[in-house]
Amino acid sequence: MYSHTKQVIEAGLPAEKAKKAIIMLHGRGASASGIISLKDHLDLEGFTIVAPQATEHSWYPYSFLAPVQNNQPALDSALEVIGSVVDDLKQQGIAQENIYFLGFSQGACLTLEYTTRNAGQYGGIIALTGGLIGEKLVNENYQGDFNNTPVLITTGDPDPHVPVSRVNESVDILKELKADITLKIYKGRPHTITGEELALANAILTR
Amino acid sequence: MENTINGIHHITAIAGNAKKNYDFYTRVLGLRLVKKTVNFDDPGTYHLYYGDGNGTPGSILTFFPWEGISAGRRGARQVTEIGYSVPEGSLDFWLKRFEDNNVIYNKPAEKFGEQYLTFLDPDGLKFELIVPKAADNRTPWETAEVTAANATKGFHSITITSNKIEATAKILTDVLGYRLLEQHVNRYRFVTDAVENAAIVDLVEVPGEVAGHVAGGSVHHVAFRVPNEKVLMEYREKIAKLGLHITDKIDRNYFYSLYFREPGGVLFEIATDNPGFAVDEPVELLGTGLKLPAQHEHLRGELEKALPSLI
Repeated sequence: MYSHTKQVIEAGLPAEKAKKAIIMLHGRGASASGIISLKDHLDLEGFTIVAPQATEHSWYPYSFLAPVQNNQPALDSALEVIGSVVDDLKQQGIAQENIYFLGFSQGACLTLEYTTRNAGQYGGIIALTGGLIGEKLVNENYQGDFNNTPVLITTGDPDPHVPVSRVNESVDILKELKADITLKIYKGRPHTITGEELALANAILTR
Repeated sequence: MENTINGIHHITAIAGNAKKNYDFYTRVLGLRLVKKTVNFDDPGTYHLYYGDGNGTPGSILTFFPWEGISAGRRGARQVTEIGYSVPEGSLDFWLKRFEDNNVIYNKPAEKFGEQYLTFLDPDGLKFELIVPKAADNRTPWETAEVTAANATKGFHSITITSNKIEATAKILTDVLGYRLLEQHVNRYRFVTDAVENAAIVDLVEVPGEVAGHVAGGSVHHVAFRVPNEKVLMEYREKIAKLGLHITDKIDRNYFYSLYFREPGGVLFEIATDNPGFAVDEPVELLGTGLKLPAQHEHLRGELEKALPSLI
């Protein structure tokens, strides 16, 4: 079993010169440089862009539906890395309400898990095919007030990795914490990102 | 191993209708469209690449869909079968899927101790889904309908039909580093030890077989895999020394290539792993946009209108 060391790739404006920041989280088997290359397809003018890299190219070893202890200590360590990236951005003068998140697949699960455990006013949250993590969702883990933070959650129906039922459960919890949710479920879509999802992401980034 | 042929890189075939091709490979067979580009020598035609999630060499099947092209004919001097590796226990899933989707197939059979299921694509291109004897640990691309329990994992093998296999066999063994593994009647199985998968070439000797005709539903060429351009150019020298005509290095945007016709009549390519399919779009978005090589970028407006819609 493994934990993560903080390795972060950066793009866009230097944090000191940027008003907004986006944290991009890659999927299982992928890399920070891969997810950061999505920037060419996103409206990120004026953003500083940061993408942490998972040790072993995976944020946690088993499915996000596995019992949480099976995914430890990797999962907790991944959440700590994100927390530390958020702290770095704040220290460099970026307010939390100007911090955005974008993740795909395992990165989308982690995006939702981190932000919902630390619910607050963020710039926006884009979870492309993912849901909250755990064999069963534990409501007590999720606290705070999103204060209408725009959140995009997408998935395929069915998706080979992410069941729609878990996406719906996650949406309920985020709504409870006052997130402003856009949910898109695409019939028969494979495990990928489509142009339409990018357009919806851009709508949040430019809101 | 650095200086070896690492099995099959990709296989390129000819199709008729582009939308039908796209629908069959992405939906019925459950492959990922890894790249949507155009034939560099004929930009009015698509070049569609299908493969696994990352576009890994050894999983890549590509097509030139030429609307209205006549049907080719399988025969000698051709790649006549393309074998995909599938998980144990998946053949029943595929039988039902082919039945439900009006795909022409044969009942499963066995060769060299491996179960396989033969089917034809909408243009008549012949495939086999093979359950390999040794475990195949490659990660498949999954769709809603074709999940990991059944999904293809990339190539298992190709079959070349010849009137006389000797000269082709010699290229395989003396140049490309394959060795004869086993033989059954007129089928000779060659394998390279450089890689675990997509490592098999079968030569089938049929003295009286008429030469095939390359057109719709037939293989245009098969590409063998090398790690980089340095090894590529070493092979160029090796092959040129045999007196075979071989092209200069060609930049295919996603790999570098050499082409030569082996003495048995099949067009062989040698292609590099570098730079790979993520060179012009992120892995997460592979196959999403129409990608044009720089020399055809000025035609984009025209091509976007002219190329048929896939969805």
